Formats: sequence, C-alpha cells, structure tokens
Amino acid sequence: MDTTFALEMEGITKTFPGVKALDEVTLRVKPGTVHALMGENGAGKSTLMKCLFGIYQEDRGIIKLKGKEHRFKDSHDALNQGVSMIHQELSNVPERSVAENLYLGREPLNKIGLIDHKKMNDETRSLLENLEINVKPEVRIGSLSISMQQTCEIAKAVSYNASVVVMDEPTSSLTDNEVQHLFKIINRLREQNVAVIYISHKMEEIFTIADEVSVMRDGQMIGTYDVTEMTNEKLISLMVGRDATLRFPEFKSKVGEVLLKVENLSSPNPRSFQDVSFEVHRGEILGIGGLVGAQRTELMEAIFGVRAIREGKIYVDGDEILNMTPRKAIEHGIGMITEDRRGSGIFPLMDISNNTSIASLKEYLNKLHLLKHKEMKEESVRYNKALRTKTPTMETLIQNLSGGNQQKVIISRWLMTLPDVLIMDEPTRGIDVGAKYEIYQIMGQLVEQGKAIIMVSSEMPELIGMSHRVMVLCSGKCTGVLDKSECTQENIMRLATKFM
Amino acid sequence: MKKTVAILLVLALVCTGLFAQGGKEATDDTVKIGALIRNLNEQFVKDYADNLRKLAEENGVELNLQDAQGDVARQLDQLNTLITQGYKYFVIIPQDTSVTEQMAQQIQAVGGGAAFSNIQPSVDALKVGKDFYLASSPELVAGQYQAQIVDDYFTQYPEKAPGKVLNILYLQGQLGHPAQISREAGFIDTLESLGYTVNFVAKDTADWTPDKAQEKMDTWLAAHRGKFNLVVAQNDGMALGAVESLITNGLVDNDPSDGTILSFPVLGIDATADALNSMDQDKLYATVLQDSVGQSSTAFELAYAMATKGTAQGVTAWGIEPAKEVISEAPANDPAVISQCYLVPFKPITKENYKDLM
Amino acid sequence: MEMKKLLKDSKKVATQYTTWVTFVGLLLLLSILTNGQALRWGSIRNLLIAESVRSFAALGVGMIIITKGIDLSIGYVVCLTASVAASFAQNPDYSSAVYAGQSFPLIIPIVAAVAAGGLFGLFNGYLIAYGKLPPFIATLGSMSIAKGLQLIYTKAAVVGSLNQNFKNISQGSVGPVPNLIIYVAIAAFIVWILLKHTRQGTHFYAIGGNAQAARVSGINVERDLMMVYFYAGLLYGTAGTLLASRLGLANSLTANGMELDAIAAVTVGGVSQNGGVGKVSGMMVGVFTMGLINYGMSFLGVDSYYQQLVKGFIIIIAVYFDMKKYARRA
Repeated sequence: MDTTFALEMEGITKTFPGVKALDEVTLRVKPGTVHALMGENGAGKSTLMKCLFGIYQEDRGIIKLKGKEHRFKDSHDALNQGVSMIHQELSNVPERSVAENLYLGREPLNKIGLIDHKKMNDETRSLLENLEINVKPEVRIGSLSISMQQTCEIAKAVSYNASVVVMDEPTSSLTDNEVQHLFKIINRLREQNVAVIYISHKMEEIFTIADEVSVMRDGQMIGTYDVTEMTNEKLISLMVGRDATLRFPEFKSKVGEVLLKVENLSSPNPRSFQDVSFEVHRGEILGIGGLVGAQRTELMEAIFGVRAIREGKIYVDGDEILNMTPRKAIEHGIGMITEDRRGSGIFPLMDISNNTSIASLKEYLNKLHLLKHKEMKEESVRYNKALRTKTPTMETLIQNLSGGNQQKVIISRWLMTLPDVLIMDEPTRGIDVGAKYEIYQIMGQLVEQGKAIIMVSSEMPELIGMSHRVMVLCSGKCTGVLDKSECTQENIMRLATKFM
Repeated sequence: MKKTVAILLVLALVCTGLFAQGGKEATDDTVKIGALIRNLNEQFVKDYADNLRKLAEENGVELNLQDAQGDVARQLDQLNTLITQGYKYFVIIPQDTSVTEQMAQQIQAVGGGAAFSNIQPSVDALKVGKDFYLASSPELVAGQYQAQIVDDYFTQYPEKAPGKVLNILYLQGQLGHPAQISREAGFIDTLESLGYTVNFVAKDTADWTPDKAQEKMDTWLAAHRGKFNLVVAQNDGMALGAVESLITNGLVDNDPSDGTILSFPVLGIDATADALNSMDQDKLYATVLQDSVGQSSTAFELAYAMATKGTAQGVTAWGIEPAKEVISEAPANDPAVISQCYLVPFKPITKENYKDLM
Repeated sequence: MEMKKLLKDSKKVATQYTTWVTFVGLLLLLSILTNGQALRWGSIRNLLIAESVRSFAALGVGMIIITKGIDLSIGYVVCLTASVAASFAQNPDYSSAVYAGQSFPLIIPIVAAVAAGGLFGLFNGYLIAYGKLPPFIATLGSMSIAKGLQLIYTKAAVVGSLNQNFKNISQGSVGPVPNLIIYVAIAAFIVWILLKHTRQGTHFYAIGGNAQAARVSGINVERDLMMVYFYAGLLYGTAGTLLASRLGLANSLTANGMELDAIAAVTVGGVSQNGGVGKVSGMMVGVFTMGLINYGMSFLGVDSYYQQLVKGFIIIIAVYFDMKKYARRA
C-alpha cells in the first residue's frame, strides 16, 4: 500500500464571530480506503469540508494532496485536481441528458467547435458500464429516480479521475437495494485506489462500508479509529461524549380506541397507492415501512388532504370526513410533519416564533380578530422549550438553525395545534444522534398522553424500535401489518419486496 | 444595536436640520424663469425647449427647465418644486388642457404668471389672472389647413374623388391627446363645410411614431387596397411611416406631376426636416408648419416681460400682438380673455413654399 | 473603543437597514447640495403629495410581492379607475361629459372607482389562484384589458371639467396637512394592521415564503392569494379616485408606467422578489426614497434623461444589498 496519504488536513482552525467552529482539526485519509466522518450536527464536519473546497478560508492549518501542499480556489478548482464532492441535494440540470450533465462545462468539441454529442455519449456509456450503472447516456436525467440521479453524480465525480471523493449523506434518499448498489460502486472506487470520505449518521452503513472512522465533536477531532475495533455504542458515546447505551427510549402507553380509520383508499394515479385500509388507536405508534417508491408519503399526503383520492373513506373519531383538505384535517385534530423539511416544512425567512404558531393562528385572535402576538410568542416559547429547541433567540430565522432544531420547531408547530393524530413522515431524517433520541422521547411522551402517531420511516431500527405495529407497503399496496412481536428486519423486508 | 440605530438617525436629522437652518434663499437679482415642458421625446417640444435655452442664455436668464415625461402628475409636482424654489414666472407646455387652471391658480397664489404653448390652456386658466397668456397656434387650425390642402388637390384633380367622396386612411396621434382631438375635429369640420363626404376607411392611433404608423398602414393596405383615395396623418413622423408603407407595397405611380410619385397624396403636420426632405423627393405631398421657434420665442418674451416689468399685459411679443377678435377654438373664443391670447400662425407647407424652410 | 464599536455597529446597521440608510443618505446629500432648501416644510410637503398616489399602488403591489406574485396591470387599472371616478364627477354643464347633463352625489365616483379596482383585483386573483396562471402573464393580460376598457369607456377622450367638491377630496387640506398625506397614513396603517396583526396577513408571508408548507399548515392558499389581489385592487381603485381628484382629469395617459415605479419602490424598500419578506415601513420608505430621487433631481434641475439613469442604478444597488442580506447562510 502507498504510504503517502491521499489527503491530509492538518491543524485546521476556523473561527466565526463568537464561535470556534474548528479547533486544530487534523484528518488524514489513505488512498484506497473508505473513511467515515462522523459527528453530531454542528460538530464541524461541514465546516471542515467547506475549508477543503475553498468555500471557507481557514484561519490556520495546512491542506496536502498526495503529500503536496495545496489550496483550492473553489469546488470547480478542486474537481479539476481530482477532489470531488457528492452533495446530499442533487445539483444537476434535470432537463438535460445524463451525458450532458456529466460533461457540463467541459463538453467535448468537434473540429468546428460544436459539441461532439457522439463522443460525449460514447464516453459516458463506457463510464457507466464500467461502474455497472444501468442507464442510457441519452436519457433526460430528471426522468430518473432520485437514487439513479445520485448514482450519476458519482459517475460524474469518477469521470474527473477523482483521487478523493467526499460523499455527504449519500443514502438519505435511497432504498436498501439502492444502498447496496451504491456500496458496490464505492467498493469499485476503493479498488481503483480512490479515497472516499463518507459522511453519514447511519451506524449500520459505517460498519458495512468504512475502513476507518474519524469522529468529531464540538469543532474538535476526537480521533480516528479502525472500524473493526469499533462498536455501535462506542461510536455513539464518542460522538455525544457520554455513554449512550439506549438508542430508543422506554415509554409506557395504553393503546385505546380507534382514532383514525382509513378504508380502501385509492389514488387517482394507478401507479400510486391502491385499496389501502388501516386504523390507528389512541396511544399507539403505527409504523409505515416500505422501500422508496412504495407510495408511503403519497398515502399520508392523501389522508391529510394534500393529494386527491379516487375512492375510499377516511374516518376520524368515527365520523367520515369528505373532501379532505389540510385545513379540515387540522380542525379534526390531525397534524402532519412532512418528509421534505425544506420543501414543505419550514418557512425559511420567518422566525422561530412565527414558524411555530403558523398552523394555529385561529386560536390566538382577540375580539377584533387581530392576532395576540404576545400569547402566540409565549406559547411558541413554551413548546420549543419543552422540545429543547436550541436557538439564539425566538426571532432567529429558521433557515439559520440546524436540521434537528428545525425539525423540533416543526414538531412544536404541530403540537401547538393540539392534534390527536400526528403523521410523521421520516421524522429523524438528516438529524444527528442526540437530537434523534430527543425526538423519540417526544414521540413517547405524546403516545403516553393518549395521542396516536403514524410514523413513516426508511430506517429499520427506528421502525422496529418505536412502533407498536408496522404496516408495510409495496408498490402502493398494503402487503401486511406486523405486530411488535413479529417486527424483524427480515419480516419487514420480505413484505416490502413482495411484488418485486 | 438598537442604540446605534437611534444615534445614527439622530445624527442624520441634526445634520439635515443644520443645513436646513443655514439654507437661505438666493437674493441676487438674476431673472428666473421656470419652464414646464410636457415631453422632450417629441421633436416639436425639443425644438421648442432648445430655442428657450438659447434665448435664456442670450438674455442672461436663469432658466429651470423641467421635463414631465408625458405625466400630468409629474408636471404638477415639478410646478410645486419650482414654486418652492422661488420661481414665479413660467413658460409652460402643459401635459393636458384640463390641468392648466389648477396650475394657473398655484402660480397666481405666489403672484406670478405664465405663458402656455402648444397644448391650449382652458379659458378658466386664463381667467385666473391677467398675467396668464396663450402663446400658441390653435390646433384646430392645423387640421383646417390640412383640409384646405386636400381641397386644393381634389379641386385640381376632381376625377380622383368622384362625387366629392373622400375615402381616408387616417393616422391619429396618442388617443386622448388634445392635439389629436382638435386636429381631427378641425380637419373633418372644414372638409364637411367645403361639401365633402368624409369617409374614414380606417382610423386608428399610431402614437405619433413612424414605425407604428408603417405597421398600421401595412395591415390596412392588405385589407383596403383600392378602397381609399387619401392618407392623412396627425404628424409628420406618422406620415413618413405611411409613405414608406405605400412604397414597399408598390402603391407608386411614378408620376410626380400631381406633386407626388405615390398613388395617393399623404399629408402630415409639423414640417420637420425629414418631412421637407421627403417633399423634395416628391414623396410626402404636404405638411403644416407648427412654428416651435415662434411659439417658444413668444412665450419667452411674455415671461421675460413679466419677470422684468411685473406684467406683460398688452406687450408685443416676437412681433405678435394680442388677438383682437375671437376665433372658434378655446381659449381664444372668449372675449374676456382674448387680450391674453397671442396666436402664433400655422403655415401650410406645400410644393410652392417648402424650399423656404430648407 | 466606543468609537470603534460605533463604527462596527454602523456597518452592521448599514447592511441590516439598507433601506433606511439609503433614504437618510440621500436626504443628507440633498440637503447639502441644495443648502438645506430642499428640506423645508414646503418641499417636504411637495414630496409627500407627489408620492401619495404611488404609495397606494406600492402598498398594493407590496402585499402581492410578499406572496411571491407580481402585478403589471397597476398603471392601466389606476388609469381605468381614475377615468371611472372622473366620469361620475364631471360638471353637468360640460358638453363633452361622459354623462352630460347628469350630476351624481360625491360618493358615487368613489364607490364606482374602488369597485372597479376591486373587480379587477378579483379577476387577477382568480386567474392566478384558481386558474394557476403565472402572475406575470395573468396581469400582463389584464393590463391590456384595462387599457382597452378605459379607451372604450372614455372613447379615448379626456375626462375633464370635474366639479370642485370632487377635486377637494385630494386638493383640500386639514390645517397645514394636505388631505392626500392623511389618506396615505390611513392606508399604510390599515395595510400594516392587515399584514402584521391579522391571520390573513401572516398567511401572505407564509404563502410567499413556502407555498407548499403553507398548504400543509392548513392555509387556504387559493383563497388568500385571490384576496391579496383583491385588496390590491381596492387600493388601486382608491389611487385612481385620488389621482383624478388631484389632477382634475383623467385620460388614457394617466398613471401609465405606475406599475414599474411602484414595483421599483417596494423593491428598494426591502420587499423581496423571492417572496415572504417585506414590511409596510419599508414599502413607504422605498416610495419616498424613489420620490426623493425624482424630487431632488428636478430640484437641482438635472436633465430628465439622467434622472432615469440614476434611478436605475439606485434600484440595482439597493436590491443587490438586499439579496445579500437574505442569501441563505450555508
């Protein structure tokens, strides 16, 4: 094995007004390895990567590429030097083809200076074949699934002859199958002596794919370890700085009468959910499992009235609700925390206080029908305090909070509407371990208070650890409901892939 | 933070306050005249303004010229501004007749006076005080002159308008513009009084511009070819647009004996340099001179007399004396204000006299 | 030390309160250039009057932009409503009056104009909220419709010779304070209450900030969107009435181009084109900043061609700083 490191970042220090974001951080990555970078949100992982790509200018420290000191002007410069990053959010041009996206900004030209489409498509094809990605170069990239688009971004990184590839939460929107495919590609990169920096919150993945793991906490590098000498608990305690043996809180709730009942719900879109029936009881967490594409989110949105239904009935407390709209749903005590926090959750330019109270303004009107700002704010403070939202002030814009804290604000928003049934679609996506645990605790308290929760989740342990029952969907159809006792990864997986 | 904002605001206000205290009205005795001009984008108005500037310089007058850019409200604001700055005597091309009375009242309130050109002031505006004058050419007259020229043409070639029926393609200026309304009225009334049957085959606005006129004409020629015998525009710009259209559509008889090589006579108003050139090439048939220099010189001399002598009543300005007899167009139709009206003549420009202007 | 902190804070203030800083800066500049003349009460009064009608348009389109919409129809809608108001306020003995020989009570022109504005607002709102037309296109269409209706209604003639009672609505004053300024203050207050203290106002911000999240939060996005255009329409109707009353006439040129002035003013006033951001105070300061530029330059006798140039630069600079302020912190 090569003795020089592919990438060395030594003694990186970065201070923002009032905060030391990075404190003498050192990270060394060997070529031909997968190096996991872990830490809670706010630990400094993103800041470190931004220093690497020249988005931030570090105060102190050295960056070396293959032993040679280097500093990048911007991410494009980095790309040309063989250092690329695959972001959580896609950054492609959806209306252009796969090949055009791969060669964006460096299209091969023919003799008279026009784009040589044939050459571009041919090169893309051989590249994709080499990575066992089964996509035609001519296909419009926007027509592919999210995971396929992401895979194409990896191909793009590879096409620059990358020696270092940074992947930031690459699996957050992938199904298990797709994750397996991604790992296959990562293994291939490893064989080609590429160094992969893998940022993720998911323990299982780290143990499957990584060779080494570096843990950061509060802007400091705690250490780099061989994955083989690590355990789940050890890793968590390194990250949070305390022993965290419990991944899921204990809660005792009494499962009572039916709160929400759905009968034969079908979407007007024949490829979406069809003929789904279930019920949720007071004090119960109903998990909804399935792979990406199982139409779980679509089903939830239909129940909440965001999407249309073709047929089927929705009962709340025994009363049928016709022509459901979000407003009616809220009036009947249903709340919904959506999957896409940025797209349909937060109001980025509103402050915490307004983000919390926006769904319950009706309850804060005085005799003149004007808003009671003071009470609204007090209540917002109360909920956010209870949920331990970390924010400088209530007037801070929500876009400036971390993902976990944004999620807590949104949970506060829905708790403020005093719901009986709370639909939570991927409630802990992109949230660090500490905040995750807190959200589980909140969920436990809610069901202990007699509320019902419907939780859509793609994380098996979460589904198994939190739910009383799990309903599994596959291709829009309900393939079974598992009781707590039958809830195992294997059973869920079997139902989730029933029609595949 | 909040404190800083407060400090800065107070500082700023104190500063402005200091300056405000220190500001004193200019007390020298240069003659100050304000000019409120409706829209410098029009050739006539621009020529008028240029002549004003020239006269101001020659006479050592401090001239503050404001362009209303076609907006009545802006013109009123500009009047307010100038009055605040101590201007009392004005040369005005109003944006609209209806607003002149209000302007006159404001000027009267500070003991000043004004001369109005181009767009006629209302009778009521002139009645506000003795020092409000008309220094303009009545728009009706321009239309009347166009009608006269048309009559001369068809008297000479009666076979081109059998039965004295005129089938006209008529290009209007911006709709609602006072000149647009008066020129049209003068034109129609005169022709009818001369015994013509006036039939507008097509009539629409081209907003005073050549390109829109050409576009309109192209459409009309496609629709009404052979159904008309005369093209009239309310200014030269549009007339020239029409000329271009006729040429590109092949409506040319190449016989200049009737004064134009086009198949039909085209008339404009303004006598711009381009129009005269076109006449020289036997394209445009005739136009009417609206005398920008005459109007602005008359208005300037009136304002200058007011500023130096306190009033301009009864003076002779640019060789023109106050009108003595009423005419049919307001405001010179009211005997009470007739002595405040200085009528600058329009002039029909035809083959016979166009060379005098070149 | 104190000084240093003040300096540092001033910098922060400058980015945080771009709108105010621009305004105060221009005020200072103008007072220096004119030796203080431009800031006497008479001048300020002129400025306030000059911007009064535009303030109504700005308040309307300001609310619309907060919901991430736009309205290009303002100029011609104000033109139409001004013509409607004027047509019911003409002296009955005026021979070319729209309703010659008839006189109407003072309330008629006001109600008719405001109703016409409101109807146009509903029309725009319906197309945008329920017809799902992009606001740019919907209002582009209604702009032309308004212009057409105005020309048809007035037969392209000037609607002049308005009665004194009607003219007094705008031309009168209470003590030294012109009526127009009082109306603007009232309108700004009402819009402030609406935006800041009512549910619907909060919903406008939510819709502009994230329409999908607003829908999920139980907000009736369609209805609220329609209402914002309706309210704006009422403001345009009022603007039309006041304009006709102030000028003593209405014609097809009245208020032309007001949409651009109003959009520029609120944008300078910190109402973000990306939606979800904007305050009444900002809108008003924006209007008066633009007014100050107009006013200052005509006070100084700057050629009108240069005025356009300077205005353009001010808009771009103000918005540039604003965009920086709201850029998402990575």
